[in-house]
Amino acid sequence: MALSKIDAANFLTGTIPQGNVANASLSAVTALPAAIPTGSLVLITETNISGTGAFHITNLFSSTYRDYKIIGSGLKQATDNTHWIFQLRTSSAAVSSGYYWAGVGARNTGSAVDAGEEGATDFSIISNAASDTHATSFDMTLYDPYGYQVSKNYTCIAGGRRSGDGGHLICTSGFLANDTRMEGIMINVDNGNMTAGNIKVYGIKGS
Amino acid sequence: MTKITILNAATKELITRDMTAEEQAEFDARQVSQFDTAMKNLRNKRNQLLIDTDFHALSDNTMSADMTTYRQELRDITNGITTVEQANAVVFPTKP
Repeated sequence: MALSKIDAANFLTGTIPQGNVANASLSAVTALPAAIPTGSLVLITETNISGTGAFHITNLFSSTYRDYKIIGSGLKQATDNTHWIFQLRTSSAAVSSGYYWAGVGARNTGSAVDAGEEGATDFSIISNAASDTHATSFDMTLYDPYGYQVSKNYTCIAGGRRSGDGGHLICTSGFLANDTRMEGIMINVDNGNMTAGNIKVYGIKGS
Repeated sequence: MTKITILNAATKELITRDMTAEEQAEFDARQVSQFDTAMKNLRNKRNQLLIDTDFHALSDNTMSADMTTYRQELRDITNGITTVEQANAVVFPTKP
């Protein structure tokens, strides 16, 4: 019997009886899925950062995936009350102009938080992050950064501890007015070093 | 010298090294001072409080003296602030 597909809906753990397979040797299993199915979320990179002023990921975007999910967790920085930001990279350098973004959110005190910039030097993840034992985390999606569209979009939910305050949350979104194919990202804070954090990047395959 | 971390996603090569002079200059140019951040936060809060009472300034409304004073105090709230500590210690006037 050729093992051609494992259907998640029918997945069972256990041992396939020897009599039900033509060859028990792993090398004889030749019909595994040839391509990543459309819509699958595939982990591309995972990196722990520490003691650095800027974190670049190069050769990240490609025609293999259309959209990308980036999850940052346990993010800490040396300076209190700083702004986590990021830029997209072309094949040669980070892009430092043409970012348009808006953000809305709240503090645990109930106060609304809103912000935004046009023609900025970078995209916003979250501002006013506290530098203490409580970390910042975010969940971001980048939409077709490798395409030639006139703008590159992102959406992001970020939260954690606010400087001098309690918890805070902000949802940001925006576009980079640039039709160049992007190949990577650069993450940093606007004052001092990033001291800790884990960054995972997943690819989402288009149709 | 500030460190820079670069991950090549294709080769999985991860390096952390000192920034070049050019990278350091770019990094320095992007740094925002704590004072600028504190003042930006202060102005954002002040501006929202002014917006909240803007309707008192409509032409078909006569603004009370208390409200006029309150709004002027908000406009003046950044005067004389020169340190982060002063910016963070500002007490906003009570809305009449």
